[in-house]
Amino acid sequence: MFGSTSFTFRMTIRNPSAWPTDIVWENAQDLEHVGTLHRRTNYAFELLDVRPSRDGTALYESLIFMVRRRLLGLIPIVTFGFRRVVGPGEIWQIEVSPLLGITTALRSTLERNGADPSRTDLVDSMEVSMPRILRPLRGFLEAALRRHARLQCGEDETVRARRHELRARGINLPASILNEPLWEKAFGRGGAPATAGAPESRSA
Amino acid sequence: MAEREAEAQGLKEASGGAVPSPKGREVAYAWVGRTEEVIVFRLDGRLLACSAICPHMGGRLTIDRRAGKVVCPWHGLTFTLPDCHSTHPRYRHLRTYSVTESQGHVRID
Repeated sequence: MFGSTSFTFRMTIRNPSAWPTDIVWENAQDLEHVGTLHRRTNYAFELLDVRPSRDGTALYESLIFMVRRRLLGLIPIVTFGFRRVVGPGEIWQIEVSPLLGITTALRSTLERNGADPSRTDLVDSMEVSMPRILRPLRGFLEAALRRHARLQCGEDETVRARRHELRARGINLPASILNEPLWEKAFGRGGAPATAGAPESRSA
Repeated sequence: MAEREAEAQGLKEASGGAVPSPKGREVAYAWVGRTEEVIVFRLDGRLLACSAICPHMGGRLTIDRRAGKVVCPWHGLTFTLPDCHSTHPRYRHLRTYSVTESQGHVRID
């Protein structure tokens, strides 16, 4: 991805869910929960900016975020990412670790399970680029990414089960973004910086 | 399976508005009617009950005793105890319930 100084490999991860595509899709779009629900694989999550969905069919159009990942359940790695909902059941995401120089380009899709259409398979196709010097760690990194996806999918199953139960009881709480992105905290909704720039006007 | 998980976590579950009294740090969950789930717990010996459904996306709320808060394990939305208030602009408070305890059971009103 970044010329001769980098080494690139591709991998695909499939994880099954016992729930139908609409419930899995709702959960797949939600990224804010990684710092709380997925504490085994992440330390913290910060939403930097959100671009709302234009036609209201998705939770958002795109997100910019920062995560403190937990490599193999222990090593903290800060990453920055950009994610876009490109269509129903399909998300593309770029995530960069400045410290390690590793970039992942992820295409995440949902497929109805062939044997049981009421179930869903989550398919993550990735292209991972890293400095050549890290090439011997490819197997380690692949294992870490597979573990990460498997653990998170397992934890997400509890969310999907709960959402299914609530709907069955007639409780419909639509998915929404909970936290104000850092951009809005700093600059307001599309406005100018709250404190920087022109001095405050004062009455005489 | 959910019942076994609940048992392992020291949770008590019941339906129909009555639940076995939680002891010490235990918490109890009960569905009151079809759409209201309640969490019952003790705080400084006092029996309290509030909604167990996070108003954001419905996560099952838990008690963080160290922080003195009701917490949603999905996104971390918190409500202070004992008043069940939040500083979040969209989700100001949780519904609270009055409870009466007799013969090892709690009745949720």
